[in-house]
Amino acid sequence: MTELLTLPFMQRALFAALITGLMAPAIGTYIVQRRLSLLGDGLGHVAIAGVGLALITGQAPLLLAVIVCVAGALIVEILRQQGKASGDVGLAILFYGGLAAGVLMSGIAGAGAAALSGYLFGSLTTVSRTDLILVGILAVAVLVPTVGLSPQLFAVCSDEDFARVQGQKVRLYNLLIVALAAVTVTLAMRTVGLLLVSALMVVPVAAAQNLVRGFYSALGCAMALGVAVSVGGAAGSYYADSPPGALIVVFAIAVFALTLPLGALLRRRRQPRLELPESIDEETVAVPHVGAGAHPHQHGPGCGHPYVQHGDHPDFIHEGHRHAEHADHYDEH
Amino acid sequence: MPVIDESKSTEVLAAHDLTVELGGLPVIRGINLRIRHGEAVALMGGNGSGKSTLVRSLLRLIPFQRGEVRLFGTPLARFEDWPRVGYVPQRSATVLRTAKVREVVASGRLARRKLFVPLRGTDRIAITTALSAVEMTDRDSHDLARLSGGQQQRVLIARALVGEPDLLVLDEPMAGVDLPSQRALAQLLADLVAAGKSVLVVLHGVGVLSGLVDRAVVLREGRIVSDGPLEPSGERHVAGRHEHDEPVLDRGWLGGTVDR
Repeated sequence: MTELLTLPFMQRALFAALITGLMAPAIGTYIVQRRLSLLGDGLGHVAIAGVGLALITGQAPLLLAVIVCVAGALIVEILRQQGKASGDVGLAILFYGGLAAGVLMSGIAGAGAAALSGYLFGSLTTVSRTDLILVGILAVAVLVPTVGLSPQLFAVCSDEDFARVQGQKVRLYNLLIVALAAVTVTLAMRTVGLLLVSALMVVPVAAAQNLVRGFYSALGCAMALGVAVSVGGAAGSYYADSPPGALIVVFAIAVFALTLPLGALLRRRRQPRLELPESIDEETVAVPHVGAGAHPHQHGPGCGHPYVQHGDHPDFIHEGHRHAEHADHYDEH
Repeated sequence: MPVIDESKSTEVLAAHDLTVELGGLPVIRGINLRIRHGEAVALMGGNGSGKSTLVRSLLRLIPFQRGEVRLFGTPLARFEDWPRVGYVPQRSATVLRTAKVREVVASGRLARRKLFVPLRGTDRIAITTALSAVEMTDRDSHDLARLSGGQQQRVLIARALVGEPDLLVLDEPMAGVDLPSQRALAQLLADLVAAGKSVLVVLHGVGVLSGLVDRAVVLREGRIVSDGPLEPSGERHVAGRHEHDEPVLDRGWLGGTVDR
């Protein structure tokens, strides 16, 4: 492990992984709340066009990819706001157009599609010193609004109309969210890669929602899980000699799988006591008295049957029936 | 043209000749509506009569094609004083996935908060007060999505109250709400009106709110067909709720006076 930290290229790669692990789940929390889980994937495709453009012009890929991806994200969001993106078709054309343009330009540049692979699945050895400075600056530029404006972004993502009536600039915040997502996707291209980054935006968020309750706790938990899987995946891929993106995503999905049974357990323990609401017409129509017939079992607090509060008494739930104690027998409620 | 008398400082909301088109079809056609300070007005009508469209255009959520709207005396296009307005949208319109009750209520405080500033003491007090007003204090850390319809509705009302608005606009607050919650909501709204707030509430039928509303405005096909106080056993109310499917709760109907 210490060997890893003495290698300059691994230091840079691990730092980039740490930043990606923080950013992707943070912005991903809003994307998931808005039910746009696959937006990151589409934006990754657009960023490929930026990489292709960089290869053909001989520029630094990261900066150009950020610019192209943010521009693509804003176009998509403006089209959506104006109701012009007819369903998914407009988005699909933009996204696959980006992928095709990237591969085409890479080919013309003489680099071939193989040159893109380091951007698609991440590559530990290619994080340069200048990359790292840009990553650091853009990470601050993304994380400050993502965390600092979380009350506004939460309101906009959960109920646009209500946010508008509070005088919030909903369109601006929506543009901000996709622009931040675009920057995040592009910065992740050296670590998880453009094709897999969406997993890091969605899977830690889903895992966090299994573990903790509430939006802000889930945001913090998702960021912690994101850092753990992306730093772990980047370190592990050094030994496995594989692209880091693959291992990061495998780790993320493993964590998600672990949270499924854990989450079910936590939910059961936190389960609020169920309560049956009075029905609207209860007062006007008398409920007929139906006995449960011969019932040898004695219900009680420790009998193992779940119960719900029904008005002033508990109903024990029993093979699809609700049994309420009545004198020496049980009633069907 | 000075169509709305500005001298009326007690006027909370005013619409004159309001016309709203959706997809080229006029849905609201030349409506005149006025709500004074401390008034509780029910907006009624069948499905498709334009109730929600009217409310949404009054709150600048959808544009209008003709006419004039003023909120607290300011033309709608220039209105900025949003903390004074509390909006409770139809429950089905909210898409909250994972959020605690307290977080949802806190999001109603935004109009009174500055960017990048965490919740202050006054915000926390307002949140606690709003939660207790709707009797949800003991459930403040529950997931909104796991609550019953009536409880969710109470949370959405708390979210509107937490900004301490002067005008409360509720869109079908009683839809899908169990009877105890309906009664609790009616009591809450009565307390708010008694405290001097103005209320505009979209309803299918007045139901448990009959003792509360001062005036019922009945819409049909985008026009106001009646606007006046509730009358005991009035024909108009029957006409107004002809499509609703809940049992009519006539208790308190005849004694439907507002004592304030």
